[in-house]
Amino acid sequence: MFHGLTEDMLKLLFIISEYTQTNDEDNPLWIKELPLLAIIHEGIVKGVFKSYDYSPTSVPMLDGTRRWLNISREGKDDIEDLINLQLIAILRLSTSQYGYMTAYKPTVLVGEVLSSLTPELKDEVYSLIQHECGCNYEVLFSPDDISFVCSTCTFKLETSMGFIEDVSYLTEPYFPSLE
Amino acid sequence: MTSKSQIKDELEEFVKLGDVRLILSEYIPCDRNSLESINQKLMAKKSMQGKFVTMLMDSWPERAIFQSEKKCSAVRIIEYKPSEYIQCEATMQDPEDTIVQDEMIGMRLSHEGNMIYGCRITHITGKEIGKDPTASLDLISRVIPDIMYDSSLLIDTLLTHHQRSILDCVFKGTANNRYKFVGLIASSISPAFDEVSLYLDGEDYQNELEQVLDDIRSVQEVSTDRTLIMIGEGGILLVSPDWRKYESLVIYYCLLRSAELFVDALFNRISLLNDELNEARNLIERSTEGDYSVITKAQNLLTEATANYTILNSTGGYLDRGFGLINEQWSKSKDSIDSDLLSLVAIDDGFMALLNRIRDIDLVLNSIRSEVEGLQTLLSTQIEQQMRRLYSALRDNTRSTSEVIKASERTGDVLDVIQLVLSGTIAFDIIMAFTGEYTTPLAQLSLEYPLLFFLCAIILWVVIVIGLKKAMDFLGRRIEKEHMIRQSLNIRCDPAKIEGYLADKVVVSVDEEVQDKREVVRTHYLFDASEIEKATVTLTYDRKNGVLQDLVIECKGTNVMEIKRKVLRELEECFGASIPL
Ligand SMILES: [Zn+2]
Repeated sequence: MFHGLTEDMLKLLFIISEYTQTNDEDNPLWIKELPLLAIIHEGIVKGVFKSYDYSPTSVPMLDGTRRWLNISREGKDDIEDLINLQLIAILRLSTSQYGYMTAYKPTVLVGEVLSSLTPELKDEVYSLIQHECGCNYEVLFSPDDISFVCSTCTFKLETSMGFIEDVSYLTEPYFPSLE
Repeated sequence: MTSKSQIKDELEEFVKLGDVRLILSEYIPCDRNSLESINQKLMAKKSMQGKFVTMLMDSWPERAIFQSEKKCSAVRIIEYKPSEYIQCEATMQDPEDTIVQDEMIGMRLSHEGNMIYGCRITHITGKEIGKDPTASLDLISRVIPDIMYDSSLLIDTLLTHHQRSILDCVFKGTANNRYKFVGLIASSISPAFDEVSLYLDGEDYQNELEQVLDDIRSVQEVSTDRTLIMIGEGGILLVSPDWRKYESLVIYYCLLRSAELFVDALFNRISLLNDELNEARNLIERSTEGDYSVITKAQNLLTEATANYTILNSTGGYLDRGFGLINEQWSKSKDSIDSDLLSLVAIDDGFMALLNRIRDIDLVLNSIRSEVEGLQTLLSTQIEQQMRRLYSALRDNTRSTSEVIKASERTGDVLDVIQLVLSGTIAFDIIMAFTGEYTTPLAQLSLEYPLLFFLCAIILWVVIVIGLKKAMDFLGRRIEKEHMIRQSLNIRCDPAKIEGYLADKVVVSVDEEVQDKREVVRTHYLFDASEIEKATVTLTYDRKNGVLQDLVIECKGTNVMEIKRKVLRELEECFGASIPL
């Protein structure tokens, strides 16, 4: 049914469904956008997402300040494609600090897609989102600290999402004309 | 990939640009005097080549040596028009940079507040960027944050203290991370599609363009000279072999959008200020309900919020002025721009919308001002009431202390007398040490009439006791003691009658404590009991509920009770009713 899905899209879907699993039918779970983008960035660095790039983007934090973070445009684009395919639902909500937030959860259509996933693909995703003890990492996201945490083993892995890589360059002054 | 980059990711580069110029634009509140102050810092009037500027302040002007940070910004004035604009080139080396960067940035600071930073990127990762499209957007997207951050550091060294405090307030202490609207001008692009919509493929090409422009709003083309304009949420890209023709359009568009970014940040900060004020209000309300411990916290919070309000309010004024002026300039220079493109980019509408938003900011600031003033009044009332409570507690305390002192004075008097009596006894004991127990002829009498002798001793003792008591009373009368009695009354009466009674008294002071449900008035007045005896009377009554609460009489002399009777009689006469005690 969903033949257009790339391998990276399937991995993305699997991650979203892993983080939103719950037995409470009345109060479904959603994964927030920035933590999801942090997982995607880590996935690019670890080679899980093969077709994605990331680049520094000035991201508004919830408290209204801004921070440069490595964001994957391709990842964001695939999330949009999955929304258009009605495989994931999108939720916008305001926060107590005036910022707005986006969150995602899988739709009912996802079950069919997930059942067709190969064990190899699942293992690859688990290598990204699971600590060696087999628990899923929790993603801690604050303006100063973006890290993966395993609360069972009190293990913490800091991500490089906020580390902007240097590129050497030369520039000369340019004065644009206003006339 | 060259060795001169730290990128961990394997980049797939799809879109490349040639002859790349980067413009960063931002709005910083400014005026002619601030610009003049920046001039003085740069010594712009003297023709001198290059100088270092630091934002550090000289805290010890009397010392001969100044210690600066490791790297400063080096600035050279290129052009300067007094109190209009400064054009300079600057460079900054961030001490934390591990890779050698040779970046020179052109800066244009104008008194309206638009700050433009411009540079032509000549090399990336060691490769020269010429006319041919060789600079990949992937790499450019990594150069932009660096230049944006460094330009913040550079301008920071030049701004006045007031401008810095505005930025610090609006961006909540993270001013160096503020975003500046990105303008990219290039003469060529690869791939060069004939159809601009092909760049919006929703996949690779668009993703790379959005790395520098953020979500793309629109793509325009001028087919006559192969000019392409792409506008995103975070930037604008102009690709044209004849780019000089469209330069000012890009600049004005960047100005407009960067001002929008500033207004967004300002509005966000004002909302936060509202929160701070709400918290202060909550604390003040808690203090009216009896939790006095939070008053100091409320005071600190309100002081800080007021300071922030003052800064944000001045910012609103700067915006009004600055964008009125920029709009005028735009109206003059837009004639030279291709009218088709002009309508596509819609700068005119943008300026109108921006000016309206700035007016609306004023509206919000006005409503906040009345809130700030209201809270200040409320808080000072609370503080005043707390002072009153403190004062009355202190007064009661003083009273009881003085009573304790008086009691101990009386004890002291008694001790004095005992001491006198004892000293007499000792004197007799000493005499008897020499004489031994002596007997007088009268000693025989005590043996013959023991009962009579005992009676005489008792009578003598009584006489001495009475004599001593009289002597002490005499001494006590000579030191005029202060007496005080408090009589609580709690009777209903007409406040007008009390005030009528007080009208012909010598009133010393009046204390009023107004609360929601009561108005307690404490009047201190002088009461003449007789020619010599004068007393101070404090009458406490609740004016709102018409209750005479209590009466305190202080006087010198012993007959306080007599004075109290007189005062009560006067009050009874005045109310025409008896006062039950
Ligand atoms: Zn673990």
